Amino acid sequence: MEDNILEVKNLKKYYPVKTGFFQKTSKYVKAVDDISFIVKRGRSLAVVGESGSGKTTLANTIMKFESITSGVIYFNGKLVNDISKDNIKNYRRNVQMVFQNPSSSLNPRKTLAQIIKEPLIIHNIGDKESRNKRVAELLSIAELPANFAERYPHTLSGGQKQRVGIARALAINPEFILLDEPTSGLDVSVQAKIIKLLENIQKQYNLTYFFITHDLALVRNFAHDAIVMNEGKIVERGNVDDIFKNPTDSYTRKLIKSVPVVGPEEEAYINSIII
Amino acid sequence: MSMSENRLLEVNNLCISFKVDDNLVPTIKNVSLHIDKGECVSIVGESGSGKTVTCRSLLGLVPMPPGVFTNGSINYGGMDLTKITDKGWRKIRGSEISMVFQDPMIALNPVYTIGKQMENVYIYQGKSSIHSKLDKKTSVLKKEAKERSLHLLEKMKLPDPEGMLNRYPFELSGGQRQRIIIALAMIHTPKLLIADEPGTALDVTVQSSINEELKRLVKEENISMIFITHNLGVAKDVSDRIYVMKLGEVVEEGKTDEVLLNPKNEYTKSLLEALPRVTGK
Repeated sequence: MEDNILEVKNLKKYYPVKTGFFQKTSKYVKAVDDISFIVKRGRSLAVVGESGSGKTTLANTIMKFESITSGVIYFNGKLVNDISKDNIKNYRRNVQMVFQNPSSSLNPRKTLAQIIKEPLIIHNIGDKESRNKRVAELLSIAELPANFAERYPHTLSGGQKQRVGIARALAINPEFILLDEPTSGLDVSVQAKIIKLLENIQKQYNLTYFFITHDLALVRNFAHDAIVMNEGKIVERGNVDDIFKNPTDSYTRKLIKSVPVVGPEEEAYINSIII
Repeated sequence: MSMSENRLLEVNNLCISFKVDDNLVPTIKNVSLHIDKGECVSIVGESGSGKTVTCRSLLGLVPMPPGVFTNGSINYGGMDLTKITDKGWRKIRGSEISMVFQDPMIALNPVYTIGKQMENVYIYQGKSSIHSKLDKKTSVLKKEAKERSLHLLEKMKLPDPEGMLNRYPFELSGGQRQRIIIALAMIHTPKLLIADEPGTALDVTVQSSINEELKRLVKEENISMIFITHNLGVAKDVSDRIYVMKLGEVVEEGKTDEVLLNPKNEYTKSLLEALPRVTGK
């Protein structure tokens, strides 16, 4: 059964720009400007855009890292706006995030076991023994060797670090995972493996992904639905196949055209798109 | 040793090892490659394949020790670059062979304006210190530097080049900084430019336009280019020929189109397969 796990309506996030001696608000930067969309359970929604298009701000408001200017967010039919600071933990029990830069999002002074265990401790799940068991389980889900548990992040490669980030996000069995450009710092061959892993995990645990990226070729292969953002607004939305078959917005076409391609088939496709 | 007229640089059976706890770890194994005048060549490989070490050795930027040349030679203009002294490098770096580094955020000095940095490189590149004797009056050199800087900034399609000279790096976006770094590397019209993944830290649209401008500029100025990347799609856009590296060895080489359409090596095939396609799986 398909239902809506996340529903966003008329979301706005404005940042005031303060100028002059009295720090008067002269204008606003419209980072997210009147955005509405729906994420269906068990599917992946890709949010595509360049830096500065507002996609990370959008993610931050969904995670409740930042307040919103106006609009509503429903998660599982419940209003997210109202959630107070005390209840935020409950909300994040179901909503987790994999961060962009795996090197800076893992604490260098903790072992992998400690890093992966942390969400369990914060959410007060299980005892010492069951937590250790869960760590071993998560390492194997992330396809990392079991003896990595006592290692420190600096001994890992970029791809391995991102696997740890994924294991940590999975630790408390969330329904919804926000992926903020999870492969942008990685080699293409490592990226392919991480994407494969994410796909397998999604099927196995019926997860919903909210996937932020600027790589359209990746969207084509990984996501079910996509929205394209430019200057805080959604300029294109829909099923990924439809968007690629018939991109209606000129900005989307520009993005598709700048994807580096190798094969003749792809080249023909890129050339068929006119800006 | 004979090199054909058109040959700019030739690497023959280069081996570089690194000393780790009294053991020599071979890192570059029998790498041979060459580049002709006016040619663009890509070196493609994953991180750890040795592509960056190979290119850094062309500029004498591999720290020695711990690095050691165990075999081979790098022939450039009748010299063997594996045997050049520090003083000799000063005449080559920047003016003969130049490099664009990967991360535009850390390659510029934050406390000088763009104009000042370009001027300093123009005037002092190749000099042993700021007290070295200059060939012309400083005021003349400064004027020349400004002219050359403006010309290059314009070519790199930076808006308002004149105003750009008075700006500081923090005022600029990543794409703008990378364009300035490319202009800096070309200020003395080197014969060879090494570009180490200049677009990876940037957005796709910015990356494709920077590669486009870089390609055009090296052709116009008749500069040869070695382009380092892990993305075969990017390599296709910029280069005439490709070398594929894996674990310190060149596993495949050839004309760009031939390698991409008809890869012979298993590793090249796997790199191609890893690339997500815009046309779907």
